[in-house]
Amino acid sequence: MGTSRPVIVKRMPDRINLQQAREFSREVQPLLRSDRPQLVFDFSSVRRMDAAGVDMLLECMAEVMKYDGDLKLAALSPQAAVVLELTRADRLFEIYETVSDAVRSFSGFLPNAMRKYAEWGVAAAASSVENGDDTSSKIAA
Amino acid sequence: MDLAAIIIVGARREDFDTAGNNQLARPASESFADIPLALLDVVGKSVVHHVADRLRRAGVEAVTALTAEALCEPAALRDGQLQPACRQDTDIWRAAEEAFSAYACEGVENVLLLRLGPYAEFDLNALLDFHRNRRQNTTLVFDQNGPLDIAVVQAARRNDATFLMRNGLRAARLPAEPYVTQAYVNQLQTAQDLRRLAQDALLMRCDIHPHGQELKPGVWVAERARIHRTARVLAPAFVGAHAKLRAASVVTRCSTVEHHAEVDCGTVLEDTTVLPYTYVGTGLDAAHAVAGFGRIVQLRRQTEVEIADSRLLGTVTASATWRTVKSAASLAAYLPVQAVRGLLRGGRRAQSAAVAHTDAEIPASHHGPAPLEPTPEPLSASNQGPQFAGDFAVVRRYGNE
Repeated sequence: MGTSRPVIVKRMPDRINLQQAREFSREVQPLLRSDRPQLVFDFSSVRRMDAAGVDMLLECMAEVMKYDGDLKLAALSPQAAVVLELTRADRLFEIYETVSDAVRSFSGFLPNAMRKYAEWGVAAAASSVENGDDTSSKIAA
Repeated sequence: MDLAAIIIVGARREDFDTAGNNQLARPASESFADIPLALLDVVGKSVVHHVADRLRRAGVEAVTALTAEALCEPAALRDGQLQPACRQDTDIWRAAEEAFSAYACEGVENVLLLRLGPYAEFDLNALLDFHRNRRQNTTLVFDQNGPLDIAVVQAARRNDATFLMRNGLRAARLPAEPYVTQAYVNQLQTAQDLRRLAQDALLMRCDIHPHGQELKPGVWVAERARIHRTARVLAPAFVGAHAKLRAASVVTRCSTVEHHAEVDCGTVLEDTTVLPYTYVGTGLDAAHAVAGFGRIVQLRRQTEVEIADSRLLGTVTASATWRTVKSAASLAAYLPVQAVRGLLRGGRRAQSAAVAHTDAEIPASHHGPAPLEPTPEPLSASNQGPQFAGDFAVVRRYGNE
């Protein structure tokens, strides 16, 4: 099941302190207030991040939720990952290894866990077809 | 005097060029935030203090500790104070040679040279017996992985000692049989090794004992540590002298909070070392980490991150006077805020009471259908509290609805 709405990828600045966070927040405000926004923040270039950056992310998340959208994080640099983990903010966001994974995650209806099961079912079906087993193909179907 | 010891903190053999000149007094590894790991605290004392204490317990009468920046006398070690002279260009090995010569002049028979570097709990008496029985000028100490940068040298053999020190305690001038130890060894090369040493100390896997009182099994608390009654310290754990654990903080799984460190409200430390004079902010979750000096090393990710935000990770000032002034200032700022809040709350209460009173004056027909059962009468005239109807409903607000 796909979606017709665009997914917007926004690259984060390399340093996210109070000033940068404010600027970034101002920059993304129109995107956050669109109809059901779908946003991915690319953290690959973040080298420094402080509590103001985490505050800004939480504010963005709150804004996006108001408009029934979603905000996902991708390609976390080790520095950003450590700060998000330290502040427990990593539990509040969906985090993906790459930007493309994050973008792709918007296009499927099924949550990741269910998608894995579905993939497993398809793989099992393929192997059973090779072995001539009918029951597995029924499960996959 | 039979045996003296010289502890050299920092410099290692890789720091020498081919001509034997000291290139780097302090190696890039074996340090955290540019401080040698041997000078950082593990369960209440720095590693160099633990080593000096151990040597003294084994009967070594004189111990000199040298760092790249300072020359520390045994008195400083005995007092538990290590005050560097901050001379950046001090040649540590030259200082070691001078210390060796001084001991030789005092009539010491053997000198034990240790570079920290690796932390090893070898049997000193067995080493000395080995050294004497083999009649060697120099005996190097090895473990199964290689040299430990430890050697015993006859004090009369200054040339051997000079050669040894110019080779970073790893090569003797004359061929000699090495002493191989099977004892506990920690290479102390990374922050992970420092964490492991703290874990091993708390789990009694090594000879380092936490410097504090064991309040309950596995929980050591040093003098003047302040732990809030709602803070939880789960064994094994260590809280250093003058450390503060604020409300609802949790210290667990071999975590150590070293002296004068401060853990703010609601923060959870799990398998973490908080170095001295470090402030850990409110509501954080530090796991498998070493934090201090504005840096945090995440051991699982093997990432060192500098944190400039003092709300997350800060530094507590070393000056007691300044700390007192800051505490007084924060208290002075806190009290007026609480007073204003109290006044505002009082105003709100009065306002809500007035609203309730106005509602009571509205005729019953305006509130909707009459209650099926009459409101129960007060039990007595003295009961002044608010009386609620039996069908009183509570409406809660969810989001925008």
